Amino acid sequence: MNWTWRSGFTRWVTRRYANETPPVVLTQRRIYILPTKAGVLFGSTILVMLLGSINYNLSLGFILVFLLGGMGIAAMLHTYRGLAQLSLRPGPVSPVFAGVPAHLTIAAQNPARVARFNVEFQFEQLAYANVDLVASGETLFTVDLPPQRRGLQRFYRWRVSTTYPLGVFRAWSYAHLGNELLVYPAPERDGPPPPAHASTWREGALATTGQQDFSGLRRYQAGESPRAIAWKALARGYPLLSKHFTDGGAPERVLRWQDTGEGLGVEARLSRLCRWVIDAEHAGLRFALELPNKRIEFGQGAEQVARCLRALAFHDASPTS
Amino acid sequence: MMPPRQAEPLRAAEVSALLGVLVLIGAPHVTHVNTWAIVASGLFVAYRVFAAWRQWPLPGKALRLCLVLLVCAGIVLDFNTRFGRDAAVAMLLLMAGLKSLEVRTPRDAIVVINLGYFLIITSFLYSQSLTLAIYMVMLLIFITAMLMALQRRAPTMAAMQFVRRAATLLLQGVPLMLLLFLLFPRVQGPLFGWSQSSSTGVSGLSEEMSPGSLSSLSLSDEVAFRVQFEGTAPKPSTLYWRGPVMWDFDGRTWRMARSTLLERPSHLPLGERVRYQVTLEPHQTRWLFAIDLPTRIPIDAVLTSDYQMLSRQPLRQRQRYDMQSDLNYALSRDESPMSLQRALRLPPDGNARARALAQTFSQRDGSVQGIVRQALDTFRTQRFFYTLVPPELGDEPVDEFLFDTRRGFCEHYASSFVFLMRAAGVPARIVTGYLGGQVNPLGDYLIVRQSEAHAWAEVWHANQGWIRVDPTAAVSPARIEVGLAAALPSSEPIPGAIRLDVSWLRQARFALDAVANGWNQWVLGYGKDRQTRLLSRLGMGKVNWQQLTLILMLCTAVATALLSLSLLREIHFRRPAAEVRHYRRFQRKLRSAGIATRSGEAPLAYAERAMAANQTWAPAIATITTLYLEIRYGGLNTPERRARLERAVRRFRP
Repeated sequence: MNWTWRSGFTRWVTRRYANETPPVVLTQRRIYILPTKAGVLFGSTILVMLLGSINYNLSLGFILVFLLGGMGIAAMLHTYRGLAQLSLRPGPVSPVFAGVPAHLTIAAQNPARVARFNVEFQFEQLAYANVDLVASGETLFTVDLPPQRRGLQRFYRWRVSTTYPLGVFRAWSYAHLGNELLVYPAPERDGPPPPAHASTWREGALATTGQQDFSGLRRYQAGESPRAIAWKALARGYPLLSKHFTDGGAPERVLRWQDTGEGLGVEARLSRLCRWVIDAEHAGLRFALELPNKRIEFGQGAEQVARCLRALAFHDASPTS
Repeated sequence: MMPPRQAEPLRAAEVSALLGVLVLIGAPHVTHVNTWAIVASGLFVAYRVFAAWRQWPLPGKALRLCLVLLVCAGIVLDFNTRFGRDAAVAMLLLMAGLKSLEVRTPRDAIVVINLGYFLIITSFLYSQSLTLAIYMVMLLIFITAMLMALQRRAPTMAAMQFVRRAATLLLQGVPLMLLLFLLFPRVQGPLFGWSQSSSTGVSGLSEEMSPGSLSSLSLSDEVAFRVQFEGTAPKPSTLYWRGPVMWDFDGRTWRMARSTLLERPSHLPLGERVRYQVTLEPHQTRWLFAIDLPTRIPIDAVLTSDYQMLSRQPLRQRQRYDMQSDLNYALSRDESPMSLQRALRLPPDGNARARALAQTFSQRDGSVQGIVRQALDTFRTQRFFYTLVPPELGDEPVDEFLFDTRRGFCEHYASSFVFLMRAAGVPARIVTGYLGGQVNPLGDYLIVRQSEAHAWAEVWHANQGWIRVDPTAAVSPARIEVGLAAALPSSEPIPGAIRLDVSWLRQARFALDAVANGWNQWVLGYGKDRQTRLLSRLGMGKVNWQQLTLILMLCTAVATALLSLSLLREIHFRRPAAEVRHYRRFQRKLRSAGIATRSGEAPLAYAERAMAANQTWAPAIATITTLYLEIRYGGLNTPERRARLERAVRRFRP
């Protein structure tokens, strides 16, 4: 990273806040304020007008100049007030798949009885939001993100700023909000299903796993009601299965890294596994996931999906949480 | 993803609003800037507005450059070498027009807004009237609202909202403005030496006097100066405001003489002395007016030996000065023989009948008093008329006036009187100035208008020096005692302002003039003098500008602190909500019982911990915690619940 005045300043300033935990309150010690380019222009205009007023001994000129100056100072205070004592924390966020537009949420608590206008939140060059915050209350807003890469994406240090009301001053602050976004691999499209030999079809698998009492699908047996047939699973290329609502083992499948096919890169393999996990869940299967350095035991339902996808997301990365 | 605001082009409505305000700001210049400059800049702006609505193309870089060159060429051709205020304003208007032509983005709009601020101040170069000030304050609010609207393009607000907020913001700047206005160190005179007059074509007294020159002034309603007396004002008949003194006569026109300067007033005061302040309207010449005779010379002024007070610079701005005069005096009893010689000089021939009349005066009674009395008697006893519309006089104006027409205004009487005196061997001269004035009861000050211009005579007596003689008084005592309006027959054309028979109209005029006077005194006339006076009244009589700057900075800091206090008090020193205060009291009570809140501990966890510590508290703690959570987070914030919470906390005795 090449060192610039600005980045150096930013690093020096934000070092102090690196370990803070949300909610972050923007106190006066961490709000900075400087004129913007428009502010410099405004100031120069006032200065030239002042010189003119002195030269021509223009009383109304003096009044205009001083009024504009006074207004500038009031505007500065308003700009500062736009950020003062805001309390910020990351909002709830759900994991997304890589490659699709994502968003984060931030909750901003405004203790003042006046609303705050045009507060800008920016994370590096990636995320930007310009929001109004309601008076005496918390505003939860979303910040749109471009499509993200797989893994745990960290959006820690936010630059919060405002130029309201006149745009002649910009007040800004840095807040370590610690937003994190879990990004699953992008599910593969139109990929092959898991190879048939990878499936282990078992009856009464409850005993072996011993943790699920959920009854799901079983291989269809002649004589069972056609209404019990899992048509959806059939459509996806699974064998003929029947839905069982009594206790007993569901069909199981192990989704394995080595089955994803030769000659694929890591990400492509993860994408394929991601697709298989989703399909397996859709098909109502109990499934396990085997990665080179990790194994997720058999399970079923949204929780199992989340566990597997999380493992995929963290593959070859060290999860921090 | 970067902030998208700055680049997004302006909408048609934004362009129209911005340029509309700009046009209104430039509008007052229509009266004095060249027509072509006005038309050209108007066309530029109009094209831009139409282009915004009709999606017409905007001129490219090459065309804009051509226009800039064209405009510069126009300015050079039109103004040539006279590149001063008018040329600069025309240039600024044209540049504003050209800038509007290319305004696309908010960044351009900000440049236009700054040009707008600048245009406002250029209008004040031409007029600083109260009306213009009010108009410009209105536009100041509008253009500031535009600046605000550029900050808030999405989601936007209603236009009135912006206007209201802009007005509020400007209002918050007012205390600082007042402070800076009063305390900012004022310097006298221009910084760069290219200051120009702030008004043009003002009529007033001149360096010459010929028949008709003062009577033309008498039709002018313009204010010459205003006077505030300390104590009671003297009678109008004693208020001879001394101006140009005329010595040399060519048979028709009286002219001033070059005279020496006095270090200090040298007359002998003989009694009553008045103190007053004069606020003189700019009249482009150098005279400062004072009641006969001034005893003090203002800063930056000189006094000639014939007691004309002259400013060192032509009066291009309204000026205030403190003055003090002796109503009774003896002036120049030791006048130099050269001056006396001059005061006797007449053209070698002409006006023979007047000379003959003067001879009869000196033969009948050769004393100065005698000659003066005979001359005045002539005016009094013969059928002389005081009129603003005297008949034309030919080649021998004194003779024609004295013997044929006998109708004249003060300059006719003064002129022929001095002529008679000189012809009879009495040194005499003409003094022009103003007589009397109108008291404005609403403002307790005196208004002296151009219509009060007057001419009178001074004759020299060996024992008494120069004595004032007003021949007009012999003809029309009312002019002296009451004023011009009373002295003239009602058929004469005099300005409505002076004829005061409609009383409510007079009241209204007085009220208007009182406002104008206040405006002049406190706003326009506030300069170095007033500042010094204000400071000395505040006990800071002897501060130099460095100290003043320091005082100003301190005061500004205090004012800014007060402003920030009023704006930020609510955020920084906010009183917590009632339920929070009650709950904190509950926490304090528990803490003194040994159970303090841990950091980050939620109310429920805290309550459980406290209940576990002492079972007997459980009901109260449960009530308090539940109420608090309901009010704070459960959306059940009612006065009744808050009252219950307060009661529960008060009764809670751990």
